[in-house]
Amino acid sequence: MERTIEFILSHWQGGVFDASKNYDDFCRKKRYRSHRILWLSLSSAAAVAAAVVFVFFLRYNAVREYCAGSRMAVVMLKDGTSARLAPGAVLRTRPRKNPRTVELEGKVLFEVSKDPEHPFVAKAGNAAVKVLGTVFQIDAGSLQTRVDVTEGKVLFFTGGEEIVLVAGESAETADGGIVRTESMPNPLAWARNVFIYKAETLETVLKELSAYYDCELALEDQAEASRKISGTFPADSLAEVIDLIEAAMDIKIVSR
Amino acid sequence: MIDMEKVYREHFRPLCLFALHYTGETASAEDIVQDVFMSLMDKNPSNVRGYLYVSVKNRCMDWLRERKPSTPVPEELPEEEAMERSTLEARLWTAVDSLPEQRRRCLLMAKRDGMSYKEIAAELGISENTVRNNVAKAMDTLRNAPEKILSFIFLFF
Repeated sequence: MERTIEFILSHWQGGVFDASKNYDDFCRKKRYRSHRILWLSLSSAAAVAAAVVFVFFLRYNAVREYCAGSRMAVVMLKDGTSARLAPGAVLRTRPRKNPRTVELEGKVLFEVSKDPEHPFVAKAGNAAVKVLGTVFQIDAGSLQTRVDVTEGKVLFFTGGEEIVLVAGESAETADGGIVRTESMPNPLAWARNVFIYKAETLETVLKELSAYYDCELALEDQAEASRKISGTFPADSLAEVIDLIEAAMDIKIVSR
Repeated sequence: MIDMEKVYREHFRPLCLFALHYTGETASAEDIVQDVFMSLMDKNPSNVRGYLYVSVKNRCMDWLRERKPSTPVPEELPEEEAMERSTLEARLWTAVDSLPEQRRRCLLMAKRDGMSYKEIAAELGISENTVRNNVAKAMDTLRNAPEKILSFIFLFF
């Protein structure tokens, strides 16, 4: 007992261990804590909501980029359109924001799924092509953009100018405008890997092969230039095509 | 729902004294007990008193490890005994609280500060006899204050 009294006296201070005073303090802290919890939960809910909106915004605007390396690449777009990218070509889409609009560099062949309500738009620099459902290709080079239409029709526009191209027609940008250009029989040879000729003159055939293989082919006897040829030739090897044509027509082709 | 006001009235001071045995500081003892009371609302235990004593003890041990790692841990009493001791101490604390001012000052100077009656008399400007008288009466009050508890305690010792 004396030891207990001694313990109490050695620590006693006025106003200490006061239950009612401490209870008031406790109530203040409890209120503060519940306010703080409320505030914290509100602010964290707001932060989560903002993050969700931000992520949706990012995803909505997300750009998907397809690049063909040294080989061809085929991309199926969300709307069912297929895009065949020539080596080195780049295709960009925003699948969520607008699945029917693409941007491209290089040569791309589109087989556009039909959707009259939503035109398909392919942009290349300042030029663009608007279609409803066709097969066409765009070759967006650094200097000019060329469009070849194989099926259906397209609206080709750049700056203030626009023209309608139908199957078998070609055009390219020039000096800020658009000019129609001579259409080759097989603009899609790179994609289809085949040259198909239906009664084409030898002159046209050699011109196309020269452009395709980047060389200069000519007939030994120019008098035969107007003779016509029909047939299907693989596009893998220039030598093979020349051999086939020479044998079929009994002519001689030379490279200058 | 726990009636916190009632819990405070019944247990706050005994728990503070219980904690004081570990911490040796009144301020930390009060803080620890208040923290435990805070946690009481979240836990809502069935045995409130048992929960309070165990929690205060655990928090005191943590506090000691953190603040005074070199201090030997005080000997542990059985739970019931610790509760009885704390209740007794709380009564004594209250008894000191309710002593008349001059009597308390004499008591504390004599017992806590170890001053002689002569020194206290000079300090307070009263006679040495009055000081002796005050201290004796105060000690009487303290010894008789927890009478009921005392008889109970004697059962153990």
